Amino acid sequence: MIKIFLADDHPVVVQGLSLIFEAQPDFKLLGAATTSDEVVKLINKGAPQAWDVLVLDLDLPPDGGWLVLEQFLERFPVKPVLIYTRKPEKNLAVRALKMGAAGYLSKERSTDELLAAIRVAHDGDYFETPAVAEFLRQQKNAQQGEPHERLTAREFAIFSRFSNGQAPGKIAEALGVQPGTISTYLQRIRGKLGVENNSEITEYAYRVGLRD
Amino acid sequence: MARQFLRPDLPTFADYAAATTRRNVVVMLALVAGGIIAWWPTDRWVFGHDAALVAAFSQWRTAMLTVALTAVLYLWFAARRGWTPWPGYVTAIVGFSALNGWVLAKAGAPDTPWIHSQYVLAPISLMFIVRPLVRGIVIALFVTACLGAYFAFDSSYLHKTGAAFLLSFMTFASLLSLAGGHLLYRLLERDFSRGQALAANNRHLERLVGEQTESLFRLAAGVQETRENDRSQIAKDIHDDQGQYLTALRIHLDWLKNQPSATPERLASFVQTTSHLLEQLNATQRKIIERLEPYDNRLGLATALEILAENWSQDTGIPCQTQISAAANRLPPPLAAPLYRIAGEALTNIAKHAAASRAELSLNNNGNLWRLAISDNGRGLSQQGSGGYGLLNMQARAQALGSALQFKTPADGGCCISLEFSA
Repeated sequence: MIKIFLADDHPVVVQGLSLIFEAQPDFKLLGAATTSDEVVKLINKGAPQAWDVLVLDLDLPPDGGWLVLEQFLERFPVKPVLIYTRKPEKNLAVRALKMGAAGYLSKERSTDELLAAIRVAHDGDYFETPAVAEFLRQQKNAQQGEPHERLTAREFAIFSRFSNGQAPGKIAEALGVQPGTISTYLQRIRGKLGVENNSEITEYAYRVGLRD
Repeated sequence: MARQFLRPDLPTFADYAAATTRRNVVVMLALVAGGIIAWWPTDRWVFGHDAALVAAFSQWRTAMLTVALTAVLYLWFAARRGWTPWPGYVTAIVGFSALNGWVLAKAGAPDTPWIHSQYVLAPISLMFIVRPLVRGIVIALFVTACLGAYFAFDSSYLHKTGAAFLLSFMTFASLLSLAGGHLLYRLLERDFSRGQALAANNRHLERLVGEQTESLFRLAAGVQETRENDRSQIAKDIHDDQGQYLTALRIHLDWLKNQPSATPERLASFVQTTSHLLEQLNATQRKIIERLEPYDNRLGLATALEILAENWSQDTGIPCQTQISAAANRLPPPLAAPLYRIAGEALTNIAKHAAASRAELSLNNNGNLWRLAISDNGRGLSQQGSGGYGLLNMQARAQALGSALQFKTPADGGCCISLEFSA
């Protein structure tokens, strides 16, 4: 069951999406907010612990979705946030991904794509869009530096917790995600760091001085 | 000349006259000093045979230069400290006179010749821009003193043949100086007051140009602001309203696609929802087009406002009473267009924020003085929040008409926005 929270200021869109989510047996819409203030209040109360995916509109009065994204990821760095907005993917999507969003879908896309993107984000992966391809290409291009510098913001959050001795189960609990998600992340981290198993992740952190 | 009159440190003719006098005297002293130095070598040539006389003239020249330098230094200090310049003038005149007399006596001039140098005193007084009365008194005192000294020194001069000539010459020179000085004084005074008037006029013109430039800038800024507000409002309408209705329609159609076995009831509710969305979409589009379409004055403003109010009532369900002078149909487009927009904006605001059950639109004139007023019985302006674009837009348009919006909240609630202008 994927528990979704929706932040969108347009009742007609919220209404339509709730119809769509209702029709999915594995989806559950936990609630919806129409202002950034409401979402920020929920974040401060720790409510997103119960959410699996946040679907966020960037045009969220009064302060906008960017602020919500920033505050959300500060508290819940690996919880997937899917941006779903009328603003075009060009220019903004890569920026959102760099900030740590799990995906960026223009409202011009079909709801099938939205559903697929929510599922993929829930699994801790990126739903393939041109912007995601560009984002991953930029990540790859940045490979001149140390391997750990290639980690995304979300990957790095898990890497630093894990290499400082937190068990995957604890990390999942602390960040409010499924343990399976953490495994997926660790696998990706191993790939990027070029190590064979999880204990080598900790060794790597010692080596580069990210753990004392 | 005019530039000098513009000097703020010389506000009155007395100040100007004092400054001019000081400048004249300094120039004169510089010329005298220059001449004394330049002609120094001629002493040896003129008095070559008499070494004592050459030495006396050298002494004279040194003393003259000392007096000139002393006077100039004093005038320089006095100007900076605000002291009276007269000690400088007196030093120069008395010093030069005494030294000239002394050197003439050395050169063996007849009688007591130092007195004779006083002939030039009266003409020299022309350098002084002073009131005729002052000039008259000073000249009279000097001449009397000099003549008195001259004859007192040796009263036998009174009986010499030249005495009458000397007396009449001094008198004539004094009168001429008085007349010339008076003329000069009056001319300068007239010039000064004309310059002052010119400067005042210039200042007035500059202020006028400044004010007009500023108001043009304000107007341009107002027009620009109105345009920007219009554009952002249209962008907002397209993005927020139209875009979201389109998204919602798409979502609903996607839902239908995945519901092959929907019940007839659900389908009926689906059709109702989507047709409602389409209606909203149409309404938004109509709103955007209304904003984009240039105001058409062919019907005349009175008719256009009647139609505006009718359409508004139909769209909102709020009755709107109109009271519009038929003469408004003759208002020219540059006036009619912004008035039409202000009325439209005000009605939109009422529909959006006022929660009113009744509105009123009036445009009346008294001669060429007009008053546009839009009122409602809603929550009043303070309850409607900042008002945002709408109010700003209206203000900018009113400013472009050379007017200003007035907001009134009647005691029995509601709000009245009005605007007065002349056509």
